Amino acid sequence: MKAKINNLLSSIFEHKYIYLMLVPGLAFLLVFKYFPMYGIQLAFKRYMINEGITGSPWIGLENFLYIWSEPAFWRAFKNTIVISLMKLGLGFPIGIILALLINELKMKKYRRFLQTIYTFPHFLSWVIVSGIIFNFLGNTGALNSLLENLGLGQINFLMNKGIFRYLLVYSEVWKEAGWSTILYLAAIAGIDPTLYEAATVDGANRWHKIKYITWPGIQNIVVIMFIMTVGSIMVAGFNQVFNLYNEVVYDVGDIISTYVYRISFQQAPDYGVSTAVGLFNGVVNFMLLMIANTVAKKFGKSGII
Amino acid sequence: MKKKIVLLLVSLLLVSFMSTAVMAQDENYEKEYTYVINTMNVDSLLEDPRLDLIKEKFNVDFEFRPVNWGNWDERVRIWTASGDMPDVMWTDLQNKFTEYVNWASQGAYKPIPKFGDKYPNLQAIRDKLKSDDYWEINGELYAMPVPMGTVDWRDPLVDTFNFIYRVDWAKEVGLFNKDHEYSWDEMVEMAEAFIEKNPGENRKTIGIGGIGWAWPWFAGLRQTHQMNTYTVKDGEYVWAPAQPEFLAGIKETKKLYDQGIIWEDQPIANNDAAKNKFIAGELGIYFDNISVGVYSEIMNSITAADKNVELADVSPMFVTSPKGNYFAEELLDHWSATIYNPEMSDAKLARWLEIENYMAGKKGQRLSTLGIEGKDYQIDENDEVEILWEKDEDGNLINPYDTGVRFFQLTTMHDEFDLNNPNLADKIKNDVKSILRRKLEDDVYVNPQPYEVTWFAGDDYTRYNSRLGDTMAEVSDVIVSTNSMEELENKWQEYIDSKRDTVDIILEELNQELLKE
Repeated sequence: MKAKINNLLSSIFEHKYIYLMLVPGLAFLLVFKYFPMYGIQLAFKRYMINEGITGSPWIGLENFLYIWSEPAFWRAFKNTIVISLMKLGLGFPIGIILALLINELKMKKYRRFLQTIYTFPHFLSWVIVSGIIFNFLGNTGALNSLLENLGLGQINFLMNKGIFRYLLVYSEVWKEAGWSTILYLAAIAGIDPTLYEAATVDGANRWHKIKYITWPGIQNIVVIMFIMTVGSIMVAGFNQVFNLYNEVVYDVGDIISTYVYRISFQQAPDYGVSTAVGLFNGVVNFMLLMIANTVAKKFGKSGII
Repeated sequence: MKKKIVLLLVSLLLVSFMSTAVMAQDENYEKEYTYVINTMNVDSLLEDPRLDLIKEKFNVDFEFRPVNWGNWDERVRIWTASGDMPDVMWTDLQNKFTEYVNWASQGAYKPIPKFGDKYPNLQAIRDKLKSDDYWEINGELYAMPVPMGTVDWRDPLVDTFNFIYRVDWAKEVGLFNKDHEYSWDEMVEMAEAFIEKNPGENRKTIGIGGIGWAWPWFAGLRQTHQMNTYTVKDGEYVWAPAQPEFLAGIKETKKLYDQGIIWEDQPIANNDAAKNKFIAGELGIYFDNISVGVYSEIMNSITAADKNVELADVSPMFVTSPKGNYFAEELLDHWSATIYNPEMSDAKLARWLEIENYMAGKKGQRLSTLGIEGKDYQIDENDEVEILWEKDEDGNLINPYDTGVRFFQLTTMHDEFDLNNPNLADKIKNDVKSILRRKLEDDVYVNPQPYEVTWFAGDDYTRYNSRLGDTMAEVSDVIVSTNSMEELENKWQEYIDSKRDTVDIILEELNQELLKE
């Protein structure tokens, strides 16, 4: 045991500069992700400001019972799952398809130009993107002005419950698809080019190469990204929903994070309740992550755990 | 000779000691304190010479945390919960008594000492206020309310919510009444005429719009149900949203919305969007809290935006409710309050209270409203104020200070000064006074302020009332997303049924605690 420890320590010392490079990232994780976990106990307490988190009295599962009896919570829970699944189903494949298509372009300059165009929206905040959407899709926006001039009447995009979820999905795809292609293009770049040459010699066309070389070459990355996306299903995009939703579409657009925001900051706060919601959210997220990881392994792919 | 010189020197020394003692007594401000305060319009405040006067006079400095109307409540809540309160926290206490009790009981706020003779101006405020006693918890006051209603003839003190409208357009469509009095149906007819005949010559003219936070109750709901959220009916407390009058009000608003009379973007518009439409000449009838500040901003902006529009082209609109009466609501005698960080020392709080006491006195009120004595105004031998502000080319006084700076309204509001502000056109002041006076007439039903409920902090009420915070969101939803009145009624009934259990718990406690004999 002592020898193992000594070996470990000497290995760390030998590669000390590499370990030093890990320190900022580790420090960030510890300070902003692990240390705050001690606040999770608030989910089982009634927060008293003069007692602080540690001194506040325990109340067991009272906070959970309170939220589980609240219809608005279940509405937010349902919306979170539905919106995330829609983004997963409609948005997840887009990044892969885009990467495969960009990879087929021969002109390098044109490839880079398209990559830049597709990646650029990722750097816009949702505040700006929602402003663009309001100006474009609002009742007096560009699209409705066009529809009116064509004699087709107006469509209330922003207050229409049937449209709102699709608005969330497609605006997210527009904003993030380009960013996810970077990862897949990097994976494609790692495929041995001699495989493509051999395939050409064997008479494979472009589609065959994608199907038998490119796609298998990036499958592991796709599975890992899929597991991570499933693991964040309960997030559903607070910034996006908060900037785009309104009271009229709460039924279909209010998600857990916006619900927690409202009960924490826009009305008399009960931090025990909002922590309980967050903890419930995290536990469900973790369960989905484990399920996705297990299913991936069962299909012979490597998981992330 | 020597004796005389010594005597003179001793007398001089004695006089200097005495004056030093007086100075020490009046201005014992050796230690400098820095106060962290949240406020609005911080940029203007930092440039304001009146602030320097305060700093110098009381040997203090300030660090400001900017807030705006959108994030004010949230910031206050976050600061309180995280223990990062400013020394002086300016907060909107309206309908937040349970929060206040919760935080104060847990020691989040510093108790305010009794004022008595030490702070006579602040004591005078407390003597005049009705609502401050309600804010006491076990005999201690933790929030200093900022009094409104410095105008004595405003009795009872009622709201200034009102419609204003384009008089020139009303004349053009042939529906103008020179006394500006209209029935509900006449207002709706006028809004329809504005849309149809388009006197604004816009691509699309809007009939009725309102300040964002007043949706969905400003055009039909409020004027129809005329109740407080918890109101006594047939001897017991009931929940207003479950009453037939409330549903009737929702239907009235829906009718106007579906007919396109209310601006279609109202449910998603930000606070100032409709006001900006009114100023731009795209909206004919606008609803807001028509204070002097709001009204003068609109009037000045609308005349600046269109040189063909004169002040006489806009006026308050006195509209009777769908019930046929004229409706107003009794206001609290204060708006907003200052709360103090419990970490602040007694000495530091004492210095701040001296500043507030000064601001509440005559000199402080003049500083807040007129400016610096000798520079912005002077007092003549008859004790009359002469304003020394610069004048524009028309001879109107120009206020050198930003009236949006809230720091100088931390102690009192200035509604009396505002109504007589020499910087404003007479038309603006007279219009606002006309709203205030109209609401004092005999035909007005004044909905009383529900003091008992506003300051009720029962356990069940505190725990469960927040679950009913989505009522207005639900109203907005049923107005916009239902396709018929029948669908609206069904959806509204579903909502009421879903809240039945929660409401019953609250009503049981209210009836037990507030109506027990």
